[in-house]
Amino acid sequence: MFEFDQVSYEYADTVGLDGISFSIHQGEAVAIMGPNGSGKSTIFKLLCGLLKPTAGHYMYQKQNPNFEQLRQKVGFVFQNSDVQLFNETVTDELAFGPRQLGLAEAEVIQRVNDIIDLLSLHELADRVPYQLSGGEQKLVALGSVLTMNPDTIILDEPFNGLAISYQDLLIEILQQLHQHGKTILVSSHDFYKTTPLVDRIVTLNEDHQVDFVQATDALTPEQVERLQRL
Amino acid sequence: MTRPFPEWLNTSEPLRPTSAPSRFLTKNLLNLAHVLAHFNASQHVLVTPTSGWMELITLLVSVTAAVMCQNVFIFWLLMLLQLVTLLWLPGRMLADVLHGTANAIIVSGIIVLPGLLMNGWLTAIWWLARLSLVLLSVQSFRHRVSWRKLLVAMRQLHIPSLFILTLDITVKYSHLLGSRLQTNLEAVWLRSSGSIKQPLQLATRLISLLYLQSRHQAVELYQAMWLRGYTEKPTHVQLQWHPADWILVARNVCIVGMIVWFI
Repeated sequence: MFEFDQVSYEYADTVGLDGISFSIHQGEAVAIMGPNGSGKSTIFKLLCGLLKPTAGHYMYQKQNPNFEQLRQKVGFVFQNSDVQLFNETVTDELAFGPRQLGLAEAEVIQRVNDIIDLLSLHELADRVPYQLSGGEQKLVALGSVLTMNPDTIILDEPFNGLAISYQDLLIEILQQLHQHGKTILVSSHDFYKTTPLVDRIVTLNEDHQVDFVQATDALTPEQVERLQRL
Repeated sequence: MTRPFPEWLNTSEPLRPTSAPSRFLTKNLLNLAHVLAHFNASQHVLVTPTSGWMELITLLVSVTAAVMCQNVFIFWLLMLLQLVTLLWLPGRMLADVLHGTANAIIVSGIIVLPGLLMNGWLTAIWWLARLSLVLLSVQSFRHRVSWRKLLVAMRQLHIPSLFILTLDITVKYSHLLGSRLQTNLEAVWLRSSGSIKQPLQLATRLISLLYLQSRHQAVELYQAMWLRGYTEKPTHVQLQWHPADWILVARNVCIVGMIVWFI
């Protein structure tokens, strides 16, 4: 589905990624792990079309990605959900994406109601997203992405600063989405929370390169130890 | 517990035709990226053996002299003095100073030139010449005194600490708010397809959100400062004198002397 071939990205004054190569298959759940500043968020921004590689090739469905269309297919939940929510109510927030896609209003309402049911957002529906707690904002941000029905859902550090109850809820929802064929990509430092959720782990090192790519059920004790220390 | 999974979420969404990218988003994202890159660009500052406070006084003297100067000969001397000061700068920095000055002159000139031209060419040329000298002094100062050194200099000169703090926080948080706005716009871009419906409403929402976020952040910042002992009482730093400051003193005395002599 996604293929990175020697992809590099350079910011104005720092290196984001340095010649990374790996692929992500459709319907797979993959965790991108690595120390702070290793390039996890840069990979996600490349995947959803916010950034373009400064070197190397990046393919989506075996074609050069059309960045305008890519954002219909990839949903991105930011690390800080509060900057992602900008509507007056949670209902408006959920409806924003489908309305921009040009769906009929009846379909928009149907999708919003379905997502409210899926994520149990009934009590939040008329509230202002800005005033919600961090966990509630994370759920609303996920919901606002899901109403667009993307094939791939990216979550940047989804468990950061969340209460345990919200972490468990998020894991449950992500597992359900994965079972229904969605491609899930997460970045996280939490080895124990992330491992049951994903099929493979891509690890980056401090030099912004891929350290190792391994299926979670084939991790060696040494790799487990390194992931625990992140 | 299995949650009710909607049927439409099981299917792959057909690609919908996208219209031309929203000008509102692309233009604003591009502008913000430029501004933030400018903030992020590390400005090289010459390490000078002089005190920051003396450099600040020298700047004030130079600017006041340039503004008060009514004599072409004195103006020529002042410009010569400024150009000699610039000779100490490394080549790359000198180019930056000249480039920055030229840009500032063009912008200032465009804004005020019509009014000046109505008073005659001579007034306009004379005004632009004095403006060039002021801007050259400011640009030179920027490359000789770092932001940190300037803040210390202001404390040494007993400028109210609330003013210094406000200035410092404004500069730092302008960048932070710019980054936030950029992320807001990226979030909108990711959830829109082509053109934005109701861009004015969206702009209003983004501005309101930015205001709320900045207000929240300002309150938290003040609370953090208060917890760390900030009391709004002035904190002064002892004046430090460096031997090289005598050169600046001599220069300032010369400038003041010339202005007084010719007045």
